[in-house]
Amino acid sequence: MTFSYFRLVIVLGSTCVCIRAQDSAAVIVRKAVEAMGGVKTTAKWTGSVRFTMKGTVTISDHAYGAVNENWFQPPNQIKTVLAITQLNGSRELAIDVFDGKRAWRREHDQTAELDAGRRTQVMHGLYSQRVETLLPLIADPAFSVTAIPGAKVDGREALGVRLSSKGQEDIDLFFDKENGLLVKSERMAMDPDRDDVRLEDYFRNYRESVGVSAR
Amino acid sequence: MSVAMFEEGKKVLEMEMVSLKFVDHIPDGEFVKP
Repeated sequence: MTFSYFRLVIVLGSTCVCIRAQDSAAVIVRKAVEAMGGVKTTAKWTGSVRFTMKGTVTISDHAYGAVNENWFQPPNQIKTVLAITQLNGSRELAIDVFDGKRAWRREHDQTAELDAGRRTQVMHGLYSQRVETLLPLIADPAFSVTAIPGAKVDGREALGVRLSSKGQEDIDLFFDKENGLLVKSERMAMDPDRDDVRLEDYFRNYRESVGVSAR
Repeated sequence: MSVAMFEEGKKVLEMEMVSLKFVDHIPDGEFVKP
């Protein structure tokens, strides 16, 4: 598991921003921010946040129960605690902490500091989370946003953009063509159990939470 | 949901947010060596 399992929910309201295929990448992103409640609402995601997620992790066709607690503080402090219920009913904990300079992983009752390569991947995960708030893409000139071919995501038409920024790996984002919401991101990442992998994040079941379009 | 693709398969983490709280500040003590 990596730090980047920071995945959520939002609202599917009745908003229809009706993105058109010929829209530019910048327009697609602006419409997505609008679909998520506008700049003021979306900005809440750039502050400090605590959240808990529950679900399953499936590895080699085995599904395990999982609870994921998260603390995030901009610009780059993060802590995640992932508890996985094993087949025998016991719980396995994996704790990841990045204090802004150093990063550690604790599992099997042992703590190890992450080497520079894995720390870079953690930072890229944080970068990815920042990108997925969408705000930097319309406010930060350091980001380059270009349109890429669309795709079908969960059976629905989606328009794509590619985010590039100096020193960072590209991230592809896909937005529902009808309602404008972010439905998928795709990037290279490092998995602690493997080396580089292609990581796809799908965003579904948006719903309103604590006054914001929470995802 | 996160899907990490491997040559011989994939790892799928499917999660739903069950609680969310925006806060002014999280103490640095939360982000220390575990």
